[in-house]
Amino acid sequence: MSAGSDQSDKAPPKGRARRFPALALSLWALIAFAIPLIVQPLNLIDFISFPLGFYMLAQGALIAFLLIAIVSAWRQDRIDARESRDD
Amino acid sequence: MREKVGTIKGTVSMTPKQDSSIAQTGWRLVTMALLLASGVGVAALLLLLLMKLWLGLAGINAGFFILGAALALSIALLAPKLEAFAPDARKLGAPPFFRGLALSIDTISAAFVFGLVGAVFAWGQDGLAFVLGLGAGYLLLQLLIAPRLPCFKATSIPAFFAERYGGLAPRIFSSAIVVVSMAALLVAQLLAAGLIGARLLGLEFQVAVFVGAVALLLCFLLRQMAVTAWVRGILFLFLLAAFLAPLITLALQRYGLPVPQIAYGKALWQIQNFEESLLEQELADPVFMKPMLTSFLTLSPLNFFGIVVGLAAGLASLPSVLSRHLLIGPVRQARWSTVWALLVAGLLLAALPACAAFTKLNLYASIAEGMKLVDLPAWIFAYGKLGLVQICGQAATDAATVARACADVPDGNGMLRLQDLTLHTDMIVLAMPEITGLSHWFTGFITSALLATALTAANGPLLTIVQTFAGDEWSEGHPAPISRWLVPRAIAALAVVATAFAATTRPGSILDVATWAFTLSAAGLFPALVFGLWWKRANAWGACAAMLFGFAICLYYLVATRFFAVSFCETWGFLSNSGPMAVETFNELKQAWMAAEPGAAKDAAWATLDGHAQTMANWWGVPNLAAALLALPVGFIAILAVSLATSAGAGDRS
Repeated sequence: MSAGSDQSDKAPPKGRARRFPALALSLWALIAFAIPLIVQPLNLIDFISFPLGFYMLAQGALIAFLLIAIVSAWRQDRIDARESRDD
Repeated sequence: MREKVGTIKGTVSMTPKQDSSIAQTGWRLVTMALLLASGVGVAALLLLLLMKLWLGLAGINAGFFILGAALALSIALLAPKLEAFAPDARKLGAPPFFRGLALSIDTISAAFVFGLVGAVFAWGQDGLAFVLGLGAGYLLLQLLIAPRLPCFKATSIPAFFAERYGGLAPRIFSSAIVVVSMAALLVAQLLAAGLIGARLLGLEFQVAVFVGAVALLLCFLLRQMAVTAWVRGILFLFLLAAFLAPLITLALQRYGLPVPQIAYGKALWQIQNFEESLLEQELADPVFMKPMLTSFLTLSPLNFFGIVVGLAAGLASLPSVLSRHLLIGPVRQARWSTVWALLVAGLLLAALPACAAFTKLNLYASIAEGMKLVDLPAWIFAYGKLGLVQICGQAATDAATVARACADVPDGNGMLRLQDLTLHTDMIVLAMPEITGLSHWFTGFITSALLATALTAANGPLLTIVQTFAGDEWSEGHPAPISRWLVPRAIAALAVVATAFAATTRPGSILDVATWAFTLSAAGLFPALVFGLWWKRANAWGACAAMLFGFAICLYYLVATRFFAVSFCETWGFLSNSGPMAVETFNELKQAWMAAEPGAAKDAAWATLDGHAQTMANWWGVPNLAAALLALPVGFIAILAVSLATSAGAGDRS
């Protein structure tokens, strides 16, 4: 169940992230905002039969988001494991 | 009150033993769903064949409608009965993969399937803003919301605000925002269901919306609303299969590659060639043509960001998603279910532009070959009757209407030209198999899957509305069984009827309405939600200010620029980015309207004036789909400034 319910309100609930994900968020912003701006020049390049710019918008950005999500979830898992060892 | 919520969740606290029994229940559900699906499938095939023998083509269409509705109903039937109106504790047992599937069907839903394909078809590369926005939303959910939100005891968004900030005001403000944005999302789903009903059953659109609404209410009442993640997850696989089957067929036929997500790259280049050849043959006007591979034709770069940010923040603060996926269960489950959601949603999001590209390629190819106005394909009239295809400015209901409308057009030579043909963005998904020359069965399965998705996904917003008015706190205070039974159902019925009426007026395209719903929840909830989770100093005053100002500006902007465009232009004309030419036209049209005789002429003059005003009703050129661009900064500044100006609040847990 919600990890907070079986602990006192003072201790941070189990599994709750401590640090603000600043790096991941800036990568997120970079992908979401910078790629659309450079699509037109990228379209001149061919990539697996796609115009590269279109591909980056339609699929490349999604793949990048997925990679960031996996890495950050995996890192958080490791932090959790370390903290529960320390307890 | 907090204790009460605690005990409700406390009853399902997860010991490992219970955990495994929950998982067993879940797998049993999946097996049941699969068995039921194969049963429904066999029954459906028999039904379809019978209907075909009995009624011909119309019968087969009706059969597909029944199939979609039956799918949604059987999904509702599979859900276990619940005592409380809280999110289902049994969902906890679903592994992150199934929760991810359910999360993606709740967010993309039928509305964005219609919307995305239509947007890419109509706007080309600019339409990908919606793909990027939704994808970015899942990551935002994972990075900002999932690490902390599951640690709260609350089971709904208003309860979360009450828990985090304390006091009544945050709960009331957030409830209002939740209800408005969820109602908008419900309208979008009903628009989709209505369109499918109109196409398959041959009904009037308005009637079809109510048929959809009745089906939705039935699903809701059958099993007290909460459909488990297990079963909704399977529905997502159906939807994906229904889309991939025709796309794979097309990709194999044309490019010998069974991966449509990759194969449509070649189609893009072919579209570009056809665009050139259409211009050479003077079958297209360069003013009307929007080349597929040119960016920022429809949206300026700033507006592109506006849509991406609005959808991303909206997805990350969507009340139906947060209460059903993130306010339950341990942090780790929430973390990985968003990752899975991004992966499986990505498969669908990557395939939808292919659907638009194949359709566009076929349409351009047939126009380039020469499409005689006297010999138009059947799909034009099928959708023209629904008011979704216009030729020469008139709805293409039959060949005679088209001939009459196009007779007045200068230098027409009996051939269909690109600028004469206007396709509504909502129809592209449904018409894809017909335009690309695929079998009728593909249309049937896509529409069935979409109908089931619309009805199932609409359950989420409906449940959230009911929960807001008659949630756990309410039922604790009203022990009388009859009111506990009746009131939530009455609220659900009222909400469905009200949104169905709103849908019959066709307030906008499905894409517009779904985007408004996301934008409203982004503008109202996102700043207060994120600061509440990550900034200790944020207090109730700041949160209320952020919700009030952000939401008020967003709602005003959306409503005023769309429904009161003329008075908006008069009030805010000095902020609009429209040139002096547009202002002059506006004044001329206004004179014409005032001079017109009351009656039909006056109405027509108003329609022209209103249509023109909508193109210039904006602040600094921000269109209403990108309203988040205006509202989000206001919300963030409000919560920062007001929180710092007032004392640190009580009820702070983070």
